Amino acid sequence: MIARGFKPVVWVAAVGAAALGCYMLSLRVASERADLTSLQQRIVETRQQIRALQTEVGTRGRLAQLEQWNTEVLALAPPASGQFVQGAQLARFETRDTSPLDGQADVQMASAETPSAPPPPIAAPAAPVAQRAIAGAPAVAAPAPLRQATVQRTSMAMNSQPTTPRVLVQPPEPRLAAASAPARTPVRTGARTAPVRGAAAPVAQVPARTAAPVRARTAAAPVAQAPARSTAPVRARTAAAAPVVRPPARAAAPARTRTASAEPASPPARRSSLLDDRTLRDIGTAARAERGGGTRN
Amino acid sequence: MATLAARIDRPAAPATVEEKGLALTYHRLMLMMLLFVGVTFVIVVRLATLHVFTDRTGAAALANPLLPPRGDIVDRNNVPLAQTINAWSIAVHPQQIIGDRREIAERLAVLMPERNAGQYRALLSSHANFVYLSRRALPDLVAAVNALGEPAIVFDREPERLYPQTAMAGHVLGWTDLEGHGVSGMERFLDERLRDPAQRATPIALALDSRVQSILESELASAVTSMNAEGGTGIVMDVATGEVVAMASAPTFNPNAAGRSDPSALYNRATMGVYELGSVFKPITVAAAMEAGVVTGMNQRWDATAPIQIGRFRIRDDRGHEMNRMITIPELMIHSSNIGTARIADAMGPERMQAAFRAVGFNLAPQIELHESSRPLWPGDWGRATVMTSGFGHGIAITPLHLAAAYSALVNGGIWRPATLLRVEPGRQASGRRVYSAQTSFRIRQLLRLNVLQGTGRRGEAAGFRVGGKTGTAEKVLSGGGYNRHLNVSTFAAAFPMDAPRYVVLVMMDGPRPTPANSGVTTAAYTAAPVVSRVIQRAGPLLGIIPDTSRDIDTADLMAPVTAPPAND
Repeated sequence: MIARGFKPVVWVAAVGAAALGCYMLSLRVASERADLTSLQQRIVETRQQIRALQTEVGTRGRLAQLEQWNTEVLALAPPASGQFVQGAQLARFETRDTSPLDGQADVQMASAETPSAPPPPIAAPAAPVAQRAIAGAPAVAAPAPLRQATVQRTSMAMNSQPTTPRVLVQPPEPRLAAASAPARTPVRTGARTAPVRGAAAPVAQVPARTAAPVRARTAAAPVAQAPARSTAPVRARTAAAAPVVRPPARAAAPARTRTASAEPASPPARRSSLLDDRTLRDIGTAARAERGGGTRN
Repeated sequence: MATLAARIDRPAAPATVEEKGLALTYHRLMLMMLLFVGVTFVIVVRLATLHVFTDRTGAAALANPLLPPRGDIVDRNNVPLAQTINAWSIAVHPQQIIGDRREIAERLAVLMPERNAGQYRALLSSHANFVYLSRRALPDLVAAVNALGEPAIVFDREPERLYPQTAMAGHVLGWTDLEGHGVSGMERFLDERLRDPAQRATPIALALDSRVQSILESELASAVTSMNAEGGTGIVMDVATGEVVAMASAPTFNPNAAGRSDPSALYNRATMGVYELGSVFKPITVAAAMEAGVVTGMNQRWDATAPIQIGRFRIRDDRGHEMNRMITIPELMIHSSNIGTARIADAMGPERMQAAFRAVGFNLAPQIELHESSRPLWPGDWGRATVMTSGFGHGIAITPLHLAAAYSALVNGGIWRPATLLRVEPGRQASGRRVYSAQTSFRIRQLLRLNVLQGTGRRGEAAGFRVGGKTGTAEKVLSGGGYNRHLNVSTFAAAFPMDAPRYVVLVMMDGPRPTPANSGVTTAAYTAAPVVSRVIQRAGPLLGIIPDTSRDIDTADLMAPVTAPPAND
């Protein structure tokens, strides 16, 4: 009975609650929508600001202004034609060892060598040790993968171009007046038949030529450092590994460097393993791939 | 309404006073209720119609704040060349001025010295309702004028055209008037497209490369200054598509303030100036003669033993280049022999010479988007003397752009295409028309390369870029007729790399004076050719051409017994 008596009250309360709920929902939606609108407005304002700032930066850094600064202060000159290195690639790391560095158990193998030790036949497992040291050293400029890295090739002397065969472009079809053309010298014909991409061949041999003096330098590094550090050969090795990587990085930066030294990341003891047939073949393949992929006019 | 009801009730009221009063009250209450219901209903209906029938989408699109009032113009690498910004304008309502007009005028004259205090006073005392004081004010000036505290001076943001690279490519871009309509250059050509609401959101890309343009302008300007020339022009053109990658004309002007620049600087020498360009015509004549079968071989000998006297003209070779013998085509090109070329043109005859020039568009205004272009001076009478002199570029005056387009056809395998300032998407270039055969084009490339290796164009060489080109030095035509013997128009038209030509580079110096910069010689070899060489050295790598000394075009079969001449033309 009491419930029946309160029925209208319950009805009113229920309807009121429902109405309030609907109103709250609508209010919520409206406020979300208002937030969205204001956010959109802020996005638009920000984009307008970005455009205005880009315009200002573009105007302040206009080419005429840059050129004026260059004339007055920097005095940078455009590169001369000899400073463009043709067909050579700068030093880079080549991944040859496919075994991952993680979880390797043969770290101790690196300690087996001293600078005076006779070269072991192939010390492939030793390489990751040196590489780990390289990768950990802060001086490493190149983002080398944690694999065995070998400085594969070097840039070469600017004036090495005369060694490459001269490519001469021939007319598209038989000559206009073949009879009137003077006889060509046989020397030039020989040069003409040389393939354009043939330049890759001498390039690939560069590491072989430059390797000898470079290794002499790397050999000197551990010797100089070893007495200062410790008598343990392992530490001397790892210490020597860090400075070894630097010269290629430095050589890679300025294009006008005449010769970039090929600093092998491996110690002198592993000389023979670096230049075995497989390595030379890899270098040649990579060099050809690099030449083919590069943009030339 | 209530009074109306009362009036009706009053005469017919025989009932008692109480009944009458009660009925009246009910009536009034009912009327009030109906009034409220009616007003509420009207408001609800109006709200509903507004809600249902208002189209908000169109309004949102119209008021899109990111849509510029005028579209941007960018270069081929999307570097902005023309943009629209919101600039400040300062205006005044002269009728509403509160402060002392004399004092305000004096202070305005200090802040904005374009007008003096008297002019400002007259302006402030005028009966106009609204007068602009400055249309493109800098924020500092706005702040300073605002500090005057005069409420009748108002500030507003207006869209203004800004050319961020200032004077660069001003002749190509043109400028707009205060209402935002293009009045010159590409702004004029693209005006409708730039204002179209449907299209202006996407910028228009020109064929220009702003880096190359900047290099060309700076090298040209320094050469014009150091050689004390009246002016100069330069064009870099893609031979395969006809795109004008750079077009400069010195002196330059700043399109941001075009009205305040020297009127002579607005003159675009590349498309408006018509010049007798001289020996740069020789490759065109030789190519036409090869096509016509007049020149049958490179070893064919042409008589250059003595000057030709025809009427009152005397055609002779330049001093230092007299051969006085029979010469081959390579010798003719290397020594730039006028006599030999005149003989070839004579053998061609007037019809074939005219056809050769028409084929590369020398009889029409240059084919380019710019409105600022001039028609060539095409000879009216093609007598024997005209035919002979036109062979080496005298008696016919064309714009440098004509020549650049013709050289593109000479070296690109023989296809002439109209020049364009709009970026051409790969594979979409104009089909053009074949003017020369591929063999002729190859021969001309050999000859041009030979001229740079051994002939008059040696100062145009850029190591490793395989430049080929031809010099041309003409005496300037006086306004009253005749030639000025001391003033030259020196042109070097070149292309590179010659083994597979990509770009034509043309530089013309208008009236260079003998200075140390050109060793006191005003011929093209000493004035225009070094500019081309420097432009190619700087811009070549940016255009994707890496210098390579191991490649070249084979000129061995042209190495006939030719003696190297002194390097002037």
